[in-house]
Amino acid sequence: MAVSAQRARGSSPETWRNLRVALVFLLPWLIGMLGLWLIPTGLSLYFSFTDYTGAIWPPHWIGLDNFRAMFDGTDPDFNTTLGVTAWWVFLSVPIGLAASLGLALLLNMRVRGIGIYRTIFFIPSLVPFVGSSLLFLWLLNPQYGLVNQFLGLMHLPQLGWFTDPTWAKPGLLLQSVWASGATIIIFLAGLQSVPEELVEAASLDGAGRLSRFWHVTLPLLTPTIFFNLILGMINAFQYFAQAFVVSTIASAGAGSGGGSGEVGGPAGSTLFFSLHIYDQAFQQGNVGYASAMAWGLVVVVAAITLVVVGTSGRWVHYAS
Amino acid sequence: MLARSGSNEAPLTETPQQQRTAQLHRRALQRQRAKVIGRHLLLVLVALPFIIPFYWLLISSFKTNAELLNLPPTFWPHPWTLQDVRSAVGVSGFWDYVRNTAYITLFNVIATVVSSAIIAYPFARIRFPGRDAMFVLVLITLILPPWTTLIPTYYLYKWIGWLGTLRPVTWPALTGNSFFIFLLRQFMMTIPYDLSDAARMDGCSDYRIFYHVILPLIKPALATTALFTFLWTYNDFFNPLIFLNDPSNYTLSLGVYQFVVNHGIANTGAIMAYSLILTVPPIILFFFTQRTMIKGVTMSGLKF
Repeated sequence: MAVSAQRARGSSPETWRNLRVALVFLLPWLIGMLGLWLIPTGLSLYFSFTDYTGAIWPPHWIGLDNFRAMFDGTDPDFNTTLGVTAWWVFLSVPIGLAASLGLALLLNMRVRGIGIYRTIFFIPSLVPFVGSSLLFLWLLNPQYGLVNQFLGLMHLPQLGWFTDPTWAKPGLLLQSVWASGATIIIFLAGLQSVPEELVEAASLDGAGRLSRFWHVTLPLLTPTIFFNLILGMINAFQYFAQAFVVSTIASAGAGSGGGSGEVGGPAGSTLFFSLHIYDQAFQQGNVGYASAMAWGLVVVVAAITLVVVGTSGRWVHYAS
Repeated sequence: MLARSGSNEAPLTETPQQQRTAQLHRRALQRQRAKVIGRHLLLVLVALPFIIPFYWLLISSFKTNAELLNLPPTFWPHPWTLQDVRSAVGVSGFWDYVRNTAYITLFNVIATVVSSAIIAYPFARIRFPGRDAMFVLVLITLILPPWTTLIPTYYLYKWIGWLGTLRPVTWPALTGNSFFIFLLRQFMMTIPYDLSDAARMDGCSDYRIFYHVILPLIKPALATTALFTFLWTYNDFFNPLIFLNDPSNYTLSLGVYQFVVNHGIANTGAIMAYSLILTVPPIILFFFTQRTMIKGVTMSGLKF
């Protein structure tokens, strides 16, 4: 009886009615899927095999030349952009995560008024990218900036920051740590879900503060670290707005004349992958080549994500 | 013996043991207090680098351009001036930017909430052939970097004549946002199915179930969607930079960037005042929606 009812439901009239109703609900999504995903993805694949410049239609088919150009030296900036992006993904992401975790540990202490401290750490993340980029251009101004004045006061060397190829990326890292409130809050939530009995039990067993953190808290926090790592790396590969604003303005010089400077400057030191794609696609008119690089980015992001997910079984502990 | 100090028959003079207990007690208290003070000192020390840039943004917006170049820098404007705020508001096109930003943000919030909820409903509540495959597509669009579709999308907009209008940064919201489709679907799946089955027995259509049963129950998730769509759209620099070519269509974020590009960074006061104005709306929103915002961040890793 139940089986026949099931079968009756699975058969035509109701299934078709459901599909019809569902498609009505899905209509806006289907339009977006077609117009904003399927057609653009197809076009993008097509562009990557052509020398399309954005002007002459139809573009000229050049096979794999765009993909070869990344590696055979046709694009002298490609190795630069790989190095800059690798620095950002493999150095700044771990540093940023460690800093956020440290701050979350501080914010997890039990003192009165901790809510005020939490607000202080969270609020910078609400400053719009352009605003925080302009603020850090001012704070890290080599001559008048507050940070260099402070360094001078401490008898430390004053730095060129966004005008110095060595210090431009660390400057961006400072800005990104300053605005990492969301990551801190996610870590804090992770810390608060660590059962206190476990930490206390370890304490009774004579474990010191460091060993409690290392052997109890940290393993229980690995799911949160994993989550932040994946999100952080995916975002790092696509890092754009801050570097774009800072590099184009800083390299335009301090004069009142203005003008847009070098994308990814100084000397290509902040030429992140997405900045290079933008520059090639929208400023140099190498639309085909930029599309090929975009596909390269997709492949690399997918590969690295799979590697991190694949190795996660070895270091991420899920409470059963 | 040692623990006797609190007994009822308190003697007039304390025995040596009692004195020692009291002393130990006092020391423990002192240690406790030192610990609390130490913790606050540590917190203040670490909080300073976070709050000082903010303070600097504030006071730089009220210093004269001459004072901004003072060495060593001053920590309190003397005198306070409104000249920077006036120059920021006086940037040509400023009020156009405000209007555009308000329109784009409002459009995106309303369109995203409505369309994402409508799209999430069948994924959560209707059984239909091809549902799982379609949902995998939603997840793929969620993960895929936007760069591949972005370049051709620019040319598509160019060919249909949308460049030079606000449509490229508004109309796409009508087709839903993958992230919020996912979020709202998860929420809708937590609502007991008996509820909609009962309504269906009574002859309710899916449209009415969606509107009268499901929507009222997912209000918190809709609020999260609205809040984060606001923050993302307001904050967005990338899409306006690529799709808004006509200066009369610029947003506040793009406007300040173009202002600096056109006039250089010499006018620091005006630039800081503009950045401060840009920062005020999200901060005000934070103080009104703190709980929703923090919950949204911790629940789903929403970032902005």
